[in-house]
Amino acid sequence: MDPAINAALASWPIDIPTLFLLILTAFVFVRGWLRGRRVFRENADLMRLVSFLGGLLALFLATQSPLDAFDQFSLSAHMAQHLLLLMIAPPLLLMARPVVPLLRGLPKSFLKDGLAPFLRWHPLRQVVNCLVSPPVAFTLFAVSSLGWHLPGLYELALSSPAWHRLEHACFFWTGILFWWHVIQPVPGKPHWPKWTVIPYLVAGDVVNTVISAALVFSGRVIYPSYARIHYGSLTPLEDQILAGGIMWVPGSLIYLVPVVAAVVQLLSPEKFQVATSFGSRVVRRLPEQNTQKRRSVLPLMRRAAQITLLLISIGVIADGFLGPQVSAINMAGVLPWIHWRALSVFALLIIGNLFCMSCPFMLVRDMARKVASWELRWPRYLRNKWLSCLIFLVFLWSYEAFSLWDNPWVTAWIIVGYFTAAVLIDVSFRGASFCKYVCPIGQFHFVVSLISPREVVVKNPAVCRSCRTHDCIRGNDRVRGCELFLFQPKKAGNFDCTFCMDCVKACPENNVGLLALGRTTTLTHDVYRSSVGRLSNRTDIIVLALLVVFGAFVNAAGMVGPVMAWEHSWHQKLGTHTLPLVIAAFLVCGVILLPGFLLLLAQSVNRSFVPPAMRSKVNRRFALALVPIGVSMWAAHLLYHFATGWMMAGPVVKRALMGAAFMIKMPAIPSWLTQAQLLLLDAGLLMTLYVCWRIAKQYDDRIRAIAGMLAPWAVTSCLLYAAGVWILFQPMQMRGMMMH
Amino acid sequence: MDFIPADANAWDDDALRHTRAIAAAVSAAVTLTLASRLVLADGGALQFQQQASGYVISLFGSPVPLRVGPADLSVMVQDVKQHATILNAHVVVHISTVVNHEIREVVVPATRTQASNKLLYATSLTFPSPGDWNATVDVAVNGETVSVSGKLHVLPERAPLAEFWPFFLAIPVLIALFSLNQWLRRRPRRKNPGVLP
Repeated sequence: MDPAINAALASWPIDIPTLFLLILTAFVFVRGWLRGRRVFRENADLMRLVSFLGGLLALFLATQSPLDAFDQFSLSAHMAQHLLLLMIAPPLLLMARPVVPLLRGLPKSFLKDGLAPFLRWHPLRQVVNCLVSPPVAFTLFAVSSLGWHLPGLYELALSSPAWHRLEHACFFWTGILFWWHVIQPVPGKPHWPKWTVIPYLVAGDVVNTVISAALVFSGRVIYPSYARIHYGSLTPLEDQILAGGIMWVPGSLIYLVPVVAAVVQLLSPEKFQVATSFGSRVVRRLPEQNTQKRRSVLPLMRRAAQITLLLISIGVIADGFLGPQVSAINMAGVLPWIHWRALSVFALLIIGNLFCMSCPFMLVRDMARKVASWELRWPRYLRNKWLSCLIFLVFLWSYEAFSLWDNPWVTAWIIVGYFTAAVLIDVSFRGASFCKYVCPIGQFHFVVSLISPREVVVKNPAVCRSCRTHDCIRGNDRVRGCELFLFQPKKAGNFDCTFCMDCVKACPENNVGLLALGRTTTLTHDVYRSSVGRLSNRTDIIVLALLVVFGAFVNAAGMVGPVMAWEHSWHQKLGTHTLPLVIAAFLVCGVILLPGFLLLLAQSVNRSFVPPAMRSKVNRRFALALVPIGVSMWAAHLLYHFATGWMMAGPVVKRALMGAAFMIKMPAIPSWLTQAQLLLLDAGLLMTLYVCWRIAKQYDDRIRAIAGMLAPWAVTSCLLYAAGVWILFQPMQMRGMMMH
Repeated sequence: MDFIPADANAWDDDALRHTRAIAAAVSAAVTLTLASRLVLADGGALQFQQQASGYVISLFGSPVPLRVGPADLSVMVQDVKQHATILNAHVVVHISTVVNHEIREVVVPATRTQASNKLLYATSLTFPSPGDWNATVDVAVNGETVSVSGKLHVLPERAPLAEFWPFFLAIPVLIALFSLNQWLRRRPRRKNPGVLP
């Protein structure tokens, strides 16, 4: 094959957001289609699926294929793209009658609470009715098709990606409106007689013919951009004639074939009438779920993950002690600080507490316990989170003050210290005292897991009501019970749960599993939780959550240019060896004084809306609502380090294992990074505001009272958001990349 | 049945457990496969086009217009007679400007592997300052080296708020939609919700 053709066919300008939207749409449709198929037997079921996926494929080809790569050089490629957007994708999508499957495919709560009020809203229905009525739909279609092919607007679209996207969106959506009347994708009686489809389609073909004829017969190059770039064997004028031909011949066929079909259908209505599937649905019996036989593989996965992480930890420790003391080329300078931190937070946001699940410290501890175990009771005065709050605070300070991330030797010692502490504490004391009361990493994960989407939870509460052995907490001959004293029937949310899966293994009824959880449920429902109590009664947990929230901003701010310059100016003023003091002052202001001040302010503002007896409890609940914005800041910050440093893992491991030297490349900041970080912050702020609103609504149903209670916390979360945006727009250190 | 069922009463949550897993795996695979494509440059707008020694050399730049910060430059090399694209050339892009009597210069190779359109040679670089930049494209093909030069006008960097305004606008828009949602839910329901077309 001609190399140029090969190269052209290899040109796929993939746009990740568009591709993601296409995949998401396909997923929602397939989900709804499968649900519909399970419950109702519908005619031409498979054809609907094929048609919808075909429509999405047409959209993919129009926006992500070589057609898109060449639309600036070749008018014929561009017209093929328009053909797909106007005449192929919309009818294929509508023929799948997608509305019901798409609605069924959405999460039930989102549909019921989020979308249904809009779908029932009369004015919105009137607007949609108006838009799909043939006169309006045809007018919009004709104006869009003709307007965007005028030289001025066409050149504008070629010169600007934003206008180009708008042009394509106009074509697609006016195509949907135009074909709606022809296909009637929603069940129900059509508003217009069927015969109107014939003149309607003919009029559509006239619009197409006008554009095509102008391209074919103009005798000159209409769009100057194509005259400037003479590409391939065709002259620009020949390319324009070919473009007109593409629009004219296949385009007219697409309009006229349905005209013929409509005529035939009208002349022989009984023979060619297509039955709507919705009229003849048959309820099928659902197959019974046999949950007893489905044994979980999660415990096995846990052991495999623990062994893997243990091997990596040994490698990191060895390289930290013995390898070169340059963080960018040492496993101890790269893997824990760039990869592990980011991946564990992403896992928490996407699934749940996977790091605690695969914690290598617990594997070593389990082995040590086989040698010795004293089973002492953890001191009563330490059965809270205060010790771990202190350790977390010290860690935040020492990380900045002693540049832990830049010191492989110290990093290796920290990991060794962790192993030692885990073994000593858990060999001496019963249960998982280290995880529950000491480990700062675990406490951080517990706080972040408050908004995780998955939870280890009882599948069927009725089974637990008849249980007398309570193996999930007591254990049995085969497996120990929960070491964190979480009794499954009374467990709610992820707090204090390490995803160890002991309860999953122990339950003789196989009634415990890893199931979906509403992301905000734990924060909005202040119920009694086994071994934790009510979160609003636990000052230590609230303080821990606030440390994690405000620590996110302080930790990220500590590595941006202006804050570092401020710290160094104070360092110079105060003299040598005072940098740790300056950092300590910054930390105390950021994670202790500021949240304390905000809490007092909020309490005083809320005075007129909340009875005195409840004021403290209400404020604690609102304080927990800040967790999403704090977690989003951690995720945005760690995403920066991961996105700029993920490629270091391979060369660093190769160097450590085989001694292979490598060049440190200048890291590039991906163009999508800031957008992704802002998306995370947006999501965090919106989730925080939503949780605040849900909490306020539980105390008073009047809008004024809700607004009053909400105001200080909404302002606080907006201020945190603004601080986060400011931090993201500052130059940030690329740690572990020799770019200090 | 003349309206869209929005009451979600025909759900079977267990039914789709497998599809969730499959969809997650497919999404992860697609994302991983495509992750490497994120660094590819794109064509952008034509900056200049010149002929030299039997070749037509076109330089494209994006973003449009060019601004201070990261940018993609792409080069198309064609022969004059056939207008066929030349795919075996070595292309180097030099950009330079004078700021405060000091010459700033960036020299970067452009390759087809960095381009999403494989008929182009693309490179990513950063414009450190605004103003007029001289761009020279050196093309070595079949033992012959040709150069063309032109001007690139680089505008100052946009303020972050102007650059990322959709992300900031999304918040009030979503809050407004949520408020509308709550208002609709508080209203007494109509008996007949009407007919969706």
